[in-house]
Amino acid sequence: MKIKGYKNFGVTQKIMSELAGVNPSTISKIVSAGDYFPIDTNVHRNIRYSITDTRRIIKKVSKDFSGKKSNMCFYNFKGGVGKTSLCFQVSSHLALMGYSVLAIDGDPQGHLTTSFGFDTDGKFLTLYDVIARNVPIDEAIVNIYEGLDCLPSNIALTRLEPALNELPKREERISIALSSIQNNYDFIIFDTNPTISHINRNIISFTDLINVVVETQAYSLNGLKILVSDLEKFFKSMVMKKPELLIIPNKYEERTAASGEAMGVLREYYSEFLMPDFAIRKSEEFNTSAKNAEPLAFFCRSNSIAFEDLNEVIKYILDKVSHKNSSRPRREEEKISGES
Amino acid sequence: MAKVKYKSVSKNLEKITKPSDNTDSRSSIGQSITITEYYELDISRLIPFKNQAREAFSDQEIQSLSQSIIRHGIRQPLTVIKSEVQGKYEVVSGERRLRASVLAGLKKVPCIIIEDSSMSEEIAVVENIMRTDLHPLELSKAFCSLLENNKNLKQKEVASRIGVSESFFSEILKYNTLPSDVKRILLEKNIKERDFFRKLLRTNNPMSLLNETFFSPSKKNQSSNVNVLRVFIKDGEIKVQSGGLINLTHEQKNLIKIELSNLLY
Repeated sequence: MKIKGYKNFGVTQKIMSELAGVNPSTISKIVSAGDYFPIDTNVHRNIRYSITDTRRIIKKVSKDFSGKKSNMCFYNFKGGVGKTSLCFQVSSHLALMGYSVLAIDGDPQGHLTTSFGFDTDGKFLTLYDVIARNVPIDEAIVNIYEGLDCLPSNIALTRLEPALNELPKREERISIALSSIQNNYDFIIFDTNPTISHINRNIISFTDLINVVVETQAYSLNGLKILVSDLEKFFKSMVMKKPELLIIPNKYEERTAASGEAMGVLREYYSEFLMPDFAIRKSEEFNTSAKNAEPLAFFCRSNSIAFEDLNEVIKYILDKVSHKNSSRPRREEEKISGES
Repeated sequence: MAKVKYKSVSKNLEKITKPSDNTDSRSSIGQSITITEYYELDISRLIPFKNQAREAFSDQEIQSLSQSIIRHGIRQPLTVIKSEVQGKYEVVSGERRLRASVLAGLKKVPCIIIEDSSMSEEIAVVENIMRTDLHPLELSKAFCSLLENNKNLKQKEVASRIGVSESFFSEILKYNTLPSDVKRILLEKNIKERDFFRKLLRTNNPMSLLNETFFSPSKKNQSSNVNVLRVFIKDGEIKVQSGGLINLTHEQKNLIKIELSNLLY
């Protein structure tokens, strides 16, 4: 299996300061005081530092770094809203910030896998092998760069759905399979495919934060209405505590009336799940980033709006999960809701 | 980021995006195998709804309903809510079906379980008034308790929530002010004419009006004028309708004879 190496990729001091949420001069001081060296000594502007250095520097300067831990997913059964793009960015940047991240591709289309630079024709193990064929999970996990691991996916994952039906506790197979590595990571992040399937049921049962990415347009909002009500019913019937829900409006266009109206709908009905007055603006950089399999921080300019919005999402998520000990399993007392 | 702009939501968009209150009993998508739209509940677990509107259960009707259940089964599930009594369910609508099922010897009946018990009374009333066989007094009692339980709502709002007009609601509501012995008789004798109810409300002594109208033995003979003979003249020709004469006694005919001869000579 051949995957893209990230040996020559790095992050500038400016971007580091943004990620760490500190002043650029703070970063500058740390860099000049420590033994950090630029990856390419020939350039004089936009000097970049290696992934390892970036992680060390940011870890050093950011406040309340430790104690953050979450299993989350990017979920929606409406397709094309930007789940994979955002999942890719959030997981890769959390790793750059010094956290230990496992990104799991739960979509047989394998686009998250592609984003991480996997060769699409390559042979690798997926969640299917782990759950249905009892392959030890460490064998399936692939390291992308320091702090970032990936459990990739390809079309073979479609076989997991019927296999799940045969297994006992079919809504909890992922929780069972991941229990052995749960403590190796700060963040376990799932990308999902846009369906309501047993795979996705497994994923949302496992996570404590569900990031619902929505487009700021009518169909997407209609889908959201169905999704939220379905989630409600699912967790009720599973007798589980509902995970936190974060609705992230995406592809917002300031100039269009439709976007403004969509934000109006979101504020009206879902304000409890929203970041206040926030939406990710539509930007070509997300597409470029996915196409080249390069997280934004590796190439974006310091005034990139895509990076600015992404950074805001990451900060919000970190704030949401901070010091919250994820208490799994979430099963509440058994209540019988009727005979079958 | 730049400040998000909000625009007011148009009717069309609202229609497709407004979340519905989760009162429907459809299960979560994909779970329909384990969670069904209705459950077969054991009859022993079902108890009558504590705010049951219906008071009069006619044995005969239940008998015939039970016959139909034996033949066709229960065509429409009962609506139930979880009772405060552990393990029991209250039948919000379908108590007649339940009684008939017991009679028919069924062990289990299909039930839809409503999660939101605050809606139960409304549902019970709505289900019953949509069928017209609820007695006006039962309806009146149900309206009263609905109004009682929704003190923050105006009469008009309660009426619109169960889908009846305000005037209908307030008229039915007034029936509850009738004396209880009058109400008992009305229920027992299944008297439900709206005109008569209005008369009852107007009069000072509804009991005597009730007795006069329905239970006075001489009432029929006193009030009815029977036509026995009609005579018409059209274009100089005389037409006689004498059908009424057939039922008369001999003495009555003689009386008419005398009366007529006095008139004509």
